[in-house]
Amino acid sequence: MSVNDDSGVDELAIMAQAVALPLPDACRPGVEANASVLRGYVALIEGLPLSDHCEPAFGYTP
Amino acid sequence: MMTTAAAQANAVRFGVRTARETIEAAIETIEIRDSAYVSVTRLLAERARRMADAIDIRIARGEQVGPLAGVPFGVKDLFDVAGEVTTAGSVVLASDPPKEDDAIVVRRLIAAGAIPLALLNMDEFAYGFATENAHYGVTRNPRDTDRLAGGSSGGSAAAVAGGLVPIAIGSDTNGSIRVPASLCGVWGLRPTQGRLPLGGVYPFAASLDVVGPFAGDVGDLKLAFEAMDGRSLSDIPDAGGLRVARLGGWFEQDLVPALREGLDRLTGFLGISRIVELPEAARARAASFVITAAEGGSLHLPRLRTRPMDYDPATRDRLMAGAMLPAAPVIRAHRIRNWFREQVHALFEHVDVLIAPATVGPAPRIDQPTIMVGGKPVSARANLGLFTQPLSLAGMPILAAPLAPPAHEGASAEEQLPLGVQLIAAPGKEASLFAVATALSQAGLLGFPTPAPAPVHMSSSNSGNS
Repeated sequence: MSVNDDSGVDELAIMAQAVALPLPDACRPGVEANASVLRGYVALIEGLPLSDHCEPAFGYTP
Repeated sequence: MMTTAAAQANAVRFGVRTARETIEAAIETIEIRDSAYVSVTRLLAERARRMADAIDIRIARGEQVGPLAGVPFGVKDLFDVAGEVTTAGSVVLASDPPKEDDAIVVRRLIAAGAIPLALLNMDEFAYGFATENAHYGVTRNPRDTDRLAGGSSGGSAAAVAGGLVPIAIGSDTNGSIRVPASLCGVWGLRPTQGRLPLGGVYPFAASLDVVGPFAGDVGDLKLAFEAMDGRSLSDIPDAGGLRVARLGGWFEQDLVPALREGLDRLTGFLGISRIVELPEAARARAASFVITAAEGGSLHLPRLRTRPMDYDPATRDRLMAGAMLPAAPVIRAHRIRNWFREQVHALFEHVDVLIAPATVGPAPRIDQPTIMVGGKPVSARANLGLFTQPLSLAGMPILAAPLAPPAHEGASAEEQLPLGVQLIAAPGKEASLFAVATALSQAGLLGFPTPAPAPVHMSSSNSGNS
């Protein structure tokens, strides 16, 4: 979710538009920082190989 | 000086003190002390007085009044309380109608004789580890009011540590019971996910949310949990017969020396040398982060579209970022959760209780809200859950306990602050946690003197505007 990256695309605005979320200017720095943190965590979880048979834990029970 | 919940209840049940006197004393304590802590957002004085009078009448009639008779308790402001608006620490919900009923666990505590006395501060919508709330103020740590109480159930931990109430209830999604309990030097329990009902609890990240109690000692914690659970823990095993191990790897990093030494004392007393590792703890933490952000963001998205500026800015920006997460990583996070749960279950085939730190060190200063991770200062608000978040993902019961204060003379003020550990068991095995916790408490290795000494000053730097 980079913002105004090398391609000049405002990715944050596109992501916000995708969920019909207006992004006030006052919120942008904080949202951008948090989106960056989340991007790091997404990269971490993408790095773990999983079996195709590992299902999501919907209806989670311990 | 506040006594334990058990002692207060016994005094009421056996006619030493009335429930009304107990409640009046608690109200007076709150009025004297809480200006220094900022843990109470609403006092439920009139209802508490009515309930206390009703208990006194029942005692006079010779009726049974329950194991927590007349004991005041604090309620994180995301549990429904009849006649009150559930704000979840926000102003966004302030115009909602007052609730008609108490949350289920509140009702169960009342059925055990306890009396809800105060609603307590929290990070807005439980999204944080600091209890720095833009609407209701910064809750201060009773052990040192210049330091954070932790969060998001910081009001609950501070109210117990500060001697306002002997027990309180809170919620834990990523560590929101365990972190503030540890920083404030009190006991907290995140029960097995799904064990306690969430009826009447405002959600945060519904697939991770758990509710549980805080108390000043392990006996009170057990009493409060049993009341919330609606049944007694009748099968407490012998601690000596349990297989206990220490969590290594991820859970050994960045610890302050006193915490490492405290963990050594626990394992030494228990005669254990075994260290086990949870695989992929960093990815488990990441999955918790992603699930939390996505579920919280999705929950609030309709309001974020229309009234974003009514939110606490820190919460809002996190929720917005979470609402924009695409589906693929969120689903992957849930798949990792499944995988991680299998690894944890496999571990518990060979171990009954695991011991781990709860945070890397003592409560951070309010004016310098950072902790050291990997040799670098990082935001406390975002990172105090370093050791609690990975464990949330697998749904096990986890008891947060304070190490006993340092015995040696000459400890610095910072070295005298509370440090917390986590005891972790397989799902449904809360009894094993209480067995080990009680043994370590009786040995003088766990437990911090509660309440904290009365506050001697009030700092003027509270950033809240309530």
